[in-house]
Amino acid sequence: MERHLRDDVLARLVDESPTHNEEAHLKLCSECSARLAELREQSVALGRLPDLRPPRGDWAALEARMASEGLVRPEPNLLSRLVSTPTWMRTAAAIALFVGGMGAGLVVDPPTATITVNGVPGSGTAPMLVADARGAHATTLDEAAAWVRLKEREFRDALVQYAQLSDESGVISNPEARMASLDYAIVAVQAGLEEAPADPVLNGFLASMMAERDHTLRQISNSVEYY
Amino acid sequence: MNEAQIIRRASAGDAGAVRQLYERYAPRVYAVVRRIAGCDDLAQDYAQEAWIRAIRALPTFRGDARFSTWLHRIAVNAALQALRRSQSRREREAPLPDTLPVGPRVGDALLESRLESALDRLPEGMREVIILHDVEGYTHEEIGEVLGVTSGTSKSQLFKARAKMRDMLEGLNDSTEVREAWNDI
Repeated sequence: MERHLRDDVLARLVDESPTHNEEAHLKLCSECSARLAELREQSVALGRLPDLRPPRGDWAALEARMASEGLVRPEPNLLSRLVSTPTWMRTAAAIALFVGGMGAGLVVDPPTATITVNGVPGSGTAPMLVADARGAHATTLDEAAAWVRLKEREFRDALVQYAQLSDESGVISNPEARMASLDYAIVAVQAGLEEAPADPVLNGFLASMMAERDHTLRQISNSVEYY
Repeated sequence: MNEAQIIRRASAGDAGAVRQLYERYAPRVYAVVRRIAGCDDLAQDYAQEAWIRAIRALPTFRGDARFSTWLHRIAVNAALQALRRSQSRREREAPLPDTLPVGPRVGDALLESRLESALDRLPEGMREVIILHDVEGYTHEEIGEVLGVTSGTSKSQLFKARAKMRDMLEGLNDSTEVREAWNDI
């Protein structure tokens, strides 16, 4: 058989009935029948494609945007939730902290941990936040990984302490330290974003921290009579 | 709490309720916007835009349609409009998508990857129609409504897309792998 059905005709026959002539041709032409069968299988397979998991950090970025647009009320204890976020996010935050410490010239002196950013003293203290240059000297992957794990622990501890700075009633027990912790983290993540401006995790994290900072400022403003 | 209650709370700005909706439907929303976008980079922006639109519109959701259908339509419209707005589309080198499917991968992983890759390589108009029809199950009338074309145009694009996709899969298929995968369907 010399002539075959055109591809677009075969594609139509995937879900439409053939004309008399088309049907007669398909009965005689094994090549066209096979192509039609493949097209049908292709459509069935397309209909079975699975749903896709959104990238990591997607919810954090969305939540921050919704909060910034006033579409939702932020859930309480946002930072407390960050403490229990998956390891990958804490690691990303730790990397941001690390990069921030290196890139922004950010120095924290333990144990009182007075924050200095580019030589300018900060407004409070942030215990447990420690950034130094040791990570820059990692010569093997294992050393770098160990450094990141250490930073992750330190960052998690800092978040725990930060969360403890406000009690369940929402009264801020130490607003200066809380704001300092937030400012520190924001500067660190911003510095991290200079290295990876499109990173969705870091962007989401930054947006969350900014929203939390605004929330804290409002809380301080509303409860100013306590101080 | 049933879905109607969750939607009411989300509509009132309850972030926890919104999160519940997100966790339930994010893979569905992401899948359709990812396929329309044709690449992972744009998909995340499109998905976020879809969710923002949906949350903004939640107070108007009356429950006449299923929430999943309502949300899906918003996601499709958001992705299509964002795609129209984008000034420069990336060259479709079409590496295998980074996106992970939901659920366990079985023997059809190779086939899925090739189908996704072929979808990404289709011209925009064809891709939109074949995604909406063959993947999402829209009728030609629904596609015409969403894309602003006639159902005849939708059909024409679909037939071209199917044929082109088959050719591309044949090109990708320099072994028997895909045919073996077909046989598993």
